[in-house]
Amino acid sequence: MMVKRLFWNRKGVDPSLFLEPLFVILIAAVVFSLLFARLHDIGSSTSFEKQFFAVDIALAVDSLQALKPGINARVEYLIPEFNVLLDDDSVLVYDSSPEDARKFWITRDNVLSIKEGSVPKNRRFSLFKSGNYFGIGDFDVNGVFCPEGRVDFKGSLDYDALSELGDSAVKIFSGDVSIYARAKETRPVLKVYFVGNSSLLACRIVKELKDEAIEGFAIVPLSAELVGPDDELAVLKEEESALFFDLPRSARDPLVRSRIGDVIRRILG
Amino acid sequence: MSKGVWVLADIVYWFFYIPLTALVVIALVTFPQGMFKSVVQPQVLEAKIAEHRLFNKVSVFDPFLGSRKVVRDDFRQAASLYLSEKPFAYRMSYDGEEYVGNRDFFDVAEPLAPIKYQKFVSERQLMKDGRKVSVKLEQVYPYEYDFE
Repeated sequence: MMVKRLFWNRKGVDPSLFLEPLFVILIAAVVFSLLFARLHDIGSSTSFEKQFFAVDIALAVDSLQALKPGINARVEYLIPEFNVLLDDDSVLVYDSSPEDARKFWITRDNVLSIKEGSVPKNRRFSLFKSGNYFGIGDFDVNGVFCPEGRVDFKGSLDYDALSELGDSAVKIFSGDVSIYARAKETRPVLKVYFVGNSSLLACRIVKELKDEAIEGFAIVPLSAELVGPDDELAVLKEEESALFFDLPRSARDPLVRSRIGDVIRRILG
Repeated sequence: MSKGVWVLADIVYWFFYIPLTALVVIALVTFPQGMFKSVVQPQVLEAKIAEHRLFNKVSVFDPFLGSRKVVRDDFRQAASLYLSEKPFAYRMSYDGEEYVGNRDFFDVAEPLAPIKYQKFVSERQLMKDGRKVSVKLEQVYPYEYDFE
């Protein structure tokens, strides 16, 4: 009855009075349902979060590679919701399988080697740069960085001298470069003195030997004027290119000696 | 009310309120999307990281003395990176020496910057053969990465 009174009078019915509001309500309903559906899609999708983490991790990896060569560092992450995969040229973040992953690219350095890997969701992981390596996994704080370049020295290893490694210096390698060594140091540290252009060779050998129960190392250019006549280091004064390894006493162990021999032979051919 | 007023009301309705509603709806959809997208478009940060990285790479590093502000002899090799599918390119140069990373993309994108692509330029003074040289780095990135 009320409706009839509203839209009808003695002059007749005006349909626009109820059709127009109906039309507007219908249009508004369609528009707002589309709008809310879209907003719901945006809010409930995880693609943004995955993309965000992929970008963030990739930038962290690139930042680690941007560090000065001698610096080792790590960044710890915990991403409870997603799995993470670091591969050759990108970071993938995914829910259940790499097919639904969002990815972002990393830019690899030609001097550093990558340690690829994947981490399941809800597990803490480290991104690291250590020595000549970067990637995902265990971090070696003492990693040694050696610049690229060729080590072209030739010569021969003296196994007899190596077996006599002790308090006094012995010449264990002769050729384009001479290598002297002694195992006198009581602390588990490795010092290498060098003369000439043998710093890269020193770096390569230290890099291979640093895991032999050594807690610290130093590569030091020898300053001839600071070496006294009684100092065993004086043997380097006569050499053009030479190394002097001041090893810890643990290097007297036959297994360690054999490892030293292997490393030198491998690097110097 | 006169007919003229009704015509005016109709004009306001169709040409003001409806476009205004459409505008509000579009804004409500695109603003959150835009905000989300801007977080995952880190070109400025990438350019800064690449700048530090490349200048570190072309500088001499000694195992004993560390990094020095001297240009390496193997400048071109030092300035190279393994490039992925990322649409990004750079040119590093000094005194006639030049290296271009991802040359195909650089040749296309660099002339179109800053209209279609973003370009970042940085310069540092390093030493070479006992004199100062200006090493220039130019990087080009798209304004938006396409993740779809």
